[in-house]
Amino acid sequence: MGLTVVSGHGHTWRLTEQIGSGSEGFVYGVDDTRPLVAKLVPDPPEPEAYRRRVARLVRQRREPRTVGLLSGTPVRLAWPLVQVRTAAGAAADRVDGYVMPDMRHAYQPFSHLLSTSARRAFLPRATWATALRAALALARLLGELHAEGYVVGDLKTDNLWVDEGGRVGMADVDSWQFRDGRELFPGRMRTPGYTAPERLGTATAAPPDTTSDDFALAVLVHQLLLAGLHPFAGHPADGGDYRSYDDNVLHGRCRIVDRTSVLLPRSVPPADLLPRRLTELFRRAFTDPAHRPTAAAWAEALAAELTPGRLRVCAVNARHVHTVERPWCPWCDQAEQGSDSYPDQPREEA
Amino acid sequence: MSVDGIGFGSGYEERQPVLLLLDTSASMGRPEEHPRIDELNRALTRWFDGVRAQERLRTRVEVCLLTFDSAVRVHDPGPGRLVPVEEADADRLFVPVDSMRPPTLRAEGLTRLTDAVETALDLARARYRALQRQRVPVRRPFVWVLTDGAPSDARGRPLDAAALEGTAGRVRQGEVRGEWVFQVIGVHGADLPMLRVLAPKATSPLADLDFGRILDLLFQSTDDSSPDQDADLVHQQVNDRAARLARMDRLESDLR
Repeated sequence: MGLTVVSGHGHTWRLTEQIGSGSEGFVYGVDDTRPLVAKLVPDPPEPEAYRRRVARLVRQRREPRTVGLLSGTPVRLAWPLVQVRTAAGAAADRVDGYVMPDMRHAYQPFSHLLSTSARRAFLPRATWATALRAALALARLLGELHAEGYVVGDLKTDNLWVDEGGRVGMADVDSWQFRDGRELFPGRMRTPGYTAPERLGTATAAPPDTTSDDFALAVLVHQLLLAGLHPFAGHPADGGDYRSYDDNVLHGRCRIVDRTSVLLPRSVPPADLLPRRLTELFRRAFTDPAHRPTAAAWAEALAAELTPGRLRVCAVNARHVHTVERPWCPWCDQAEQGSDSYPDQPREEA
Repeated sequence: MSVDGIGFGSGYEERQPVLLLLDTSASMGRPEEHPRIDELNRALTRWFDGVRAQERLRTRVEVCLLTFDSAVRVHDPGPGRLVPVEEADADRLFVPVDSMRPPTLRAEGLTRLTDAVETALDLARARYRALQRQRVPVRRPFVWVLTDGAPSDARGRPLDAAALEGTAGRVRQGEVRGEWVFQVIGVHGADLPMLRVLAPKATSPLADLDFGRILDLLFQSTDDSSPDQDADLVHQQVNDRAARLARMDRLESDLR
């Protein structure tokens, strides 16, 4: 026997094993012929508002603005399909949640694209072109969400999914900030390393907006294009102690903005592997909130880097893909420093 | 600007040191029919085996394991056994979380909790300073205590609140200075009021959760708390999360 959840219309689902837990919710497998999972959120800060939030999202699934976001296969968003509550116990003991598509069906965790060992194990064919495609897919998706009035608020790797073709999916839709009629459902969450500087340093979290999403997007695009490296990674070069990414964000310690501001190992991917236009976008994203590139601007620039003739494959290692702007292979340069983010596959023994 | 010699997994993630202090006093050998220490051994093995699949933890977290009963010992990953701290090579006590092979623990003796905490704080500070000197992007260490008992002195007499004050003060001062985050988990009959003298806001009673779930809970807190946060806020998050976890666990077990 496991947990059972029931919808408002009396449809019941048996839950299978717990497959994940986040800061507020627990995700369970659902016994169903379709790939579905259920998220349960015990004791949200405002239970009534949470139930209303989920109900509105479920209803919005049928609205024109959302239908476009949910078109295409595989589906890009783990949108709440049905509002549910646990079936057993007294009303006060029951836990609220919703049923959504199981993103594991078509995708892998986004973090699999961000470390050499995980790429090798789970996405063995991934190259820099895959990273570029994933960055483009993410920027497009975020641009479309913003155009429809949604703010993600807590954009981070844990909420994202990716496949070998660089397609990107997003979960945790119930933490977004959005309007429904006159009611605003605020975003509350923020995650270390993905929070815009203007939202840092305040005791109570300033509400997110599209601009703070655009900051998180720039961080994620940087991580994708530099094989996992966070843009604010590095030990402070002024001799002080390292504290956190957020501390580096607040003090503007960022290699791409000022390469003397941080100390990094020699083996990190070289900064000049980036096309000039993208470097310029990163600089603006990490220095000036007023001129931070939008998701749409990122999508346009990233798409341009994927047009025919913009990419080159290294003569030494076919997994080394780079921009034509760089005359010689940046990944070979990195390998010479003792670390290769896209190593050749080990040959099978004959 | 670049430096040599930073290496860990892929190399440029933040580093998160964790010190895990485990109570191996005689009470952990109870109840006789299924001793808690056996449960803990199984949970440790299973948890550290399973962590390889958790990319976020695997690339960031390094662990040092200590036990305390009548003596305080530290796990020396080289020979893979528990040794007195002074016999261990301080530079190699921390290992990446996915290469930790926990030793089999035995339950015997007293509960020298304060000595264990003092030792752990020394190790935490030394490790943090060493990594800062090596220019590794290191976050403040987490120090976690799992205990089912009440602290005792060298002769087995229970410590009173006054005897705990020195260690409690040091824990607290270090938290305020951002040197570490200190968390106590009291399981199965632990003397919670006494443990709360040591860590007023950082003592969670988790009698109903199995050890594997407790480890999940603690390691998750390294991932979603910010090093810039007040330690008390981290404690609040751990306590809230523990309450939610316990609630889901009750809900599931009611149906078993």
